[in-house]
This record gives sequence, C-alpha cells and structure tokens, in this order.
Amino acid sequence: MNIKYIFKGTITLAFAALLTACQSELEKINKNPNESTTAQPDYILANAIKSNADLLQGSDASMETTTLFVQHWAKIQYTDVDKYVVNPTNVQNIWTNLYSQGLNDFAEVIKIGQKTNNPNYQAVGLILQSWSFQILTDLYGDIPYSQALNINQFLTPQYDSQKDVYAGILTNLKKATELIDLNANPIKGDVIYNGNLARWKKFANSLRLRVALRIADRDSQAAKSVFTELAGNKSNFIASNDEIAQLTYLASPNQNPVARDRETRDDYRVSKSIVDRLVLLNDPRLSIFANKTADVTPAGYIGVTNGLPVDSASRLGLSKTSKLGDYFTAPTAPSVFLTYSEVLFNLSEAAQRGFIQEDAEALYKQAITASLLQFKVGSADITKYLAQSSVAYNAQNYKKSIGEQKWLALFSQGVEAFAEWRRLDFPQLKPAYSGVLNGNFPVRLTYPTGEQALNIANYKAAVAKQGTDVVTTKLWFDVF
Amino acid sequence: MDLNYYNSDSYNQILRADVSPTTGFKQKLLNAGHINNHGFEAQLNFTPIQTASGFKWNILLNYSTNVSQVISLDDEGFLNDYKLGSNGIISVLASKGKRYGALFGTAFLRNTNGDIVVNADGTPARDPNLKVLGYYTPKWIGGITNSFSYKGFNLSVLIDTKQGGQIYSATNATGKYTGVLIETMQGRDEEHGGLAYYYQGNNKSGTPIPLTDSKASAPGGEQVYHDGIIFNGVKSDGSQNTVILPAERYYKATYSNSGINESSIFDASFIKLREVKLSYTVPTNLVNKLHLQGVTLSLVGRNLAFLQKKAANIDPETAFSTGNGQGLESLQLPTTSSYGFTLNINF
Repeated sequence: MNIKYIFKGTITLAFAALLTACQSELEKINKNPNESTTAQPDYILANAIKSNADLLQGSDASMETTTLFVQHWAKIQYTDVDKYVVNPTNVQNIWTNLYSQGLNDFAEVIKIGQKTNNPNYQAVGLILQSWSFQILTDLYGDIPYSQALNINQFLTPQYDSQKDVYAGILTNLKKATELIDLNANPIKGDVIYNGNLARWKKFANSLRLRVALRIADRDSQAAKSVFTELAGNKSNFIASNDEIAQLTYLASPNQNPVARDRETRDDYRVSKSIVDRLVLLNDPRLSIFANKTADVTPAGYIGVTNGLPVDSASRLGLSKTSKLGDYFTAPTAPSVFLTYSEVLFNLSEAAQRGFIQEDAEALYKQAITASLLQFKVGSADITKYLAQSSVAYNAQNYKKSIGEQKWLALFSQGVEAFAEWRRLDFPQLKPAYSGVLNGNFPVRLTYPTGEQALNIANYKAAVAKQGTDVVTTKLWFDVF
Repeated sequence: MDLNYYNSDSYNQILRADVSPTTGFKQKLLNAGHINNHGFEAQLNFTPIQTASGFKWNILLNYSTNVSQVISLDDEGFLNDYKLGSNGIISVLASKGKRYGALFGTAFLRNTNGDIVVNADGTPARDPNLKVLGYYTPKWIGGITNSFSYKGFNLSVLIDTKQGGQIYSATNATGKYTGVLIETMQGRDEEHGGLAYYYQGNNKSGTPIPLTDSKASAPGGEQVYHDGIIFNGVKSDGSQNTVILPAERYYKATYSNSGINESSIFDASFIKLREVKLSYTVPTNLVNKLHLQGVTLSLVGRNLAFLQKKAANIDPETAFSTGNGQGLESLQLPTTSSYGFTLNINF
C-alpha cells in the first residue's frame, strides 16, 4: 500500500473522530446543568388548573363576555362590550390560553403518566383536557380537536365538527374513569381534590352528564346511554356540596381574579335582569349575589340594565347601583367548575326527557336546595322558598322551570350559564338596551383573528361548514 | 456613475414563527425559510458647473429599489404566513408567494362594486375576513445632495425620499375616534357641516331622525342636535346609505383601534429636506499663523421640512418597533429637527 494513502486515510480518520467529538461536545454545551430538563407532573398540573380557573373567572371568558351575555353582571363603565361589541383581544386570549397553557399542560401530564405508568395522572389529565375542550367547543363551535396539541405532526390543525368533539369528550371521560386506580399511584399537585381520586371519578362522571345533555337535542340516544349507564348509582357523581369541583383561591398574589379586578377597577354591577328575578322570587340568594347600594336606597338592591349608553350608565351612578356580592369578590372565592346542584338539575332534566325512570320534580327541588345550601341559606328559608308557586316545577314546560333555576344556580359561572341558556332558551331575556346586533343575542364567540393569519385554510373550511364567522351564528348543539 | 443589480436568496433563517395556539404552542423555532431579494442600486456623482474663479456645484444622486419576496417558509409547506410583528391589533406578515411585510388587519366590508357596506344602524360594516391592507416595503428610495462651494464656503443640501409603501397609524386612529384631531371637527356642529336630527321622545337609544331644515324644531319638541353625519356607503341592498349618525358614533365606528384598521392606513411616501449644512474653512495661511492645521466652522440643520408627505399628523418614518415589524406607528414622538454649530480644529 502506498504510504501516501495511509497518510491521507489517517488524517481523514483523525478529522472524523474530531468531528464527532465536536458534535457531542456541542450537544453537551447546550444543556444547562442548573436547569431541570424533565418536568414534574405535580407542578404542571397545579399550574394548568390555575390557568384554567383564572380564565373561567377572568375578564376574557367571563367578565367581559359570557357573564354579560347571560345578564348575570352588567357594566356601569366602558359599556361597549355589554352592547355585544366583543373585544377581539378577549376572544383571542380564551383560545390561546386554553390551547397553549391548560390543554398543552394536561397533554404533558398524560404523557408523563404514560411514561411513568401512573394511570391516575393519565386519568386526571384526560378529565381536565376533556373539560377544556368542552369549554372551547361550547364557545366557538367547531374547533381543532383530533389534530390539536401535536405540533410535530400538525402545524396547522384541522377543525373537527362540534358533534365529533362532544363525542370524543364523552369517550375520553369514560376512558378516564376506567383508568383511575383508587388503591395505588397517588398524584400530587392536585389543587382541586387534593389527590382524592374517588372524587375525580365523580367529577368525570358529572362532566359526562353535562356533555350528554348538551347533545340531547341532537342525539338523544347517545345522551340517554350515558344516563342509563351511570344514573343507577348516585354516588357515581358529585354527591354533596363538599364534592364540588372548584379551585379555592388563597390570599394575594394567589387571589381570585374577580377580587384582583376589584382591587383597582369598579366597572361592573349586578344585572337588572337577575336582581329583578331574585326580588320577584323572594330569593334568599339576592343578598349573596348582590350588595346593597352604597348610598341607602328604598329598594336596597338595584341592578343595572345591560348595554346602556355610557352617559345613561354614568347617570345611574356608581353608588346607587348594586355591586357584586362580597361572597364573589373575596380573595378566597372559588372558581367553580361543576356543582352538586348542576348534577341534580341534569338528572332532573334526564328524568323529564325519559332517559331515566325517576321523579323529575323531586330532583328539581333537590337541585334548588343544593344551590341554596351552597350559598349557606338556612333550612327554614329553603322550605319557604320551595313552597312558592313561582318556584314550582312545571313538567309541561320543563325547559322554563329548569332553565330559570339553573340560570340562578350558575350565577358567576358565566361560561356554563351561557351554554345552558342557549340550549334551554330560558330564562327569556331582553337583548342589551343598545345592543349592536339588531335586537339579537350573541350565541357564540367568533374565531380569534390569529387563526386567519396562522391557520387560514382550515379556518376557511370550518367557517364554510359552520356558517358565517359572526357572533349570531348558532352552533350545532343549539337547536332551538 | 455606479450601477448595481443584485439578486440574492437567503435560506434557512432561524425563525421563531408564530403558530396557531391549537398546536399547543404559540411559537415554533424553525430553521427554514427562503426569501428572495432583488433590486437596482444606482449612484451618480457629477459636477455641472466648475468655474475658474473657484465656484463648484456638485450633485450626488442615489436611487435604489428592492423587491423582497417570500418564496417559502417551512420545508413541509404548512406555514403560509410568518408574523414579523404586531401592535396587538394589526399584524405584519411575511406570506408565502407575496411581497414581504404585508399589513394584515380588519377592513371595510365592500360589495361587488367596491362600495363600503353599512350596517342597519348606519355604521360601516366590518369584513369578517382580515385582509392585506398594504405593504410597508417601499417601491424605491433615493436621495440627492447638492453642494455648492466657493472659496472657503460650502453649502450642501440633502433631500431624500421614500416612495411607495403603507403605514398603519394608531395615532390617527386614536386621535380620530376620541375626537382630538382637527379633522374630526368635520360634522360636529352646523358650522362644520353637521346635519340636524332628533330622537323620538328624546330616547337616545333610538334611531336619530333627520331634519331637512337645520333651523326647524322637532315635531314633538324634542331636543335637536346638529352633529349628524351620514357615512358614505351603501346599504346591504345596494342603495345609498341615509342613516344619520351622531358625530361621536361616526368617528368611533369608523376609526376605533379595535374596529376597522383600513381607515387608518396611509401612504408612507415622503420627501424630506434632510440636511442643510453651511461651512466655512478658514484659509490655510491664516490658520498656519496660529500653528494649526485647519479650522472649519459649520452650521447644520437636520430634518428641516417635509417637501411631500401623504400621511396626516405623523412622520411616516417613526415606528412602533425597531425590529421586523415595521409599518406600524402608534403615538410615537415625531422626529425632531435639530440645529447645530460645529467648530473643527486640526492641530
């Protein structure tokens, strides 16, 4: 062999060796020895739950949108949003926060659960993920679901129809309840139930009832099958006010978003619609939901009409209208996800629809009782309240009875109240006083403008399928 | 004379691309992209007059064009648009197959004839689809420096220009919807062409009813207002809009930052008197007596005047961002004119 070739070969080899060494060195250099590279599920879980809880109570999904649409609250300053001039920033924030914070974190929790063979992390991740998708589809309609949260494969996810999203949620919630292992594999970072997995199972089943009724006007068979599977044993569900799914806030800086808003702002009052209704029904929750006016007035409680022109609103006066009750503005007020009373209302409606063989009226009364107890109303007052003819159950018009009482019970749970009000069409509200929708109500949120910039083809396909991208386009579940 | 043509392709930039949050992420780091830049550059330097007495007139001209085109963004072809910047309302995009730097925002809803459609309440309707409202990249830029020298005196005048390209001016949007700009006097009272109207039973949430005679009183004795404006557009059936709007609503509906961006897009072209400099170089024999090498005195003025400007109320050169998100302006301080005096001494 020629000595020259040997020489060349050696040089090449030496370089090759050098290069590979270089590469591994480079990779090492990119790793920060002081930073953890694997996430701990407990931190992710706690953060994601708080992110969703903040969203549900915060200005984007509640204060500036849904809670005004359902006329729980009204605006006394900056009234544009109360006239249905929905702020695009709010619309974008709900979408961005749910997908890139809550949902992305829950997906990570599920992955960690799979890697570490902890079925309970998987189950809890799946429950919270399904719940987040339910919020999104309730608000927007068709949404990216099957291709969402998979950036390596789908940089521009397709939209799935609302029908498929609800079906997927029902399947995954059932899967989650089957995964839960009550005897082993504890979880940490659970700021809802503090690791009590039996309660997570109840939350998942209660969510299944919610979603089943959501689709009941479209697919009553699918809805019925959920109830027949679960309703035989009431302990399958959230079965007392102690088991409510909620995040209880702490003192500042971890205070309730409403409390944080009230530290610096005074833009909201309780809506006239709900104050008048509570007065009419002699409802003991009035003093919980609303505060008496700061200036002493004969009525004590005065609500504000939704969607007033700025000058009319300011003439009403900040001190002559009722602020939101202290219960809801306390730093430690909870962000409520699903209540015992909601479960009972859902069972009552299922009984009325013939999904289960039970007494709809009795369940309706239990639901109201649960709501009153949740707000610490005494038992004598409850009996008195239920005895009124104005509260009595009307089987001929169950949507009215259930719709009106559910609307009261869901006070300050804007997102869920908005969905149920659209589905049940009760209570019959009057559109905002100077609303900009020609006397119509908003019945969804438009897609955020970012989708038009970053996912245009799929956005267009979704709009073509669902209908014009405006707030007055009815969603699939909203039949009537 | 100096002429250049260039055609350059840039590949594999490191892009922090905005992606749909439905992917679970707001941004993705990509090593991708293909941008083509081509254009002309010309420079001409000549002296039209030079006399024996020492007078000299020199002209330096420069001109350049640049076309920046986005060929592709990511290798997989998922991304059509890369967000270069945003002021939270309007985004600046690099879109595949298009000119670089598109201003993407809300537009007026127009019918097939191109007329703006108004809502039933007389306010302009917004197109539910966002549109490209312009591009910030100019068609060409150029400058001319004239310098005149005689004996030790030298006067040089630099004029430069940027032609083509658009800018979104939040200053104008804010100033108009809040009514602080002088343009919004239009229609605010009788003197400025405001139309007369009243509300049935003084119910201000009702529809304003026009009065043809501005001196007339309302039929029911209602209060008469004189700040009515009719938006120049058509109803959904194609007929001319006749609904009267109070000036406040008119300006708010047309110019609000969160409303229709198209109304605050301006042509960013300008011609600027960039610099005037008068200098005097003290003769060498005088200077040498003081044991110095050279002394020059000069008076300089920069950013003295606009010779042409199409965007009202702002300097189109001011910008919200110094990064890629150009073409956006939002309540920026205008460029300041500066005047200076310089004394140069060489030892």
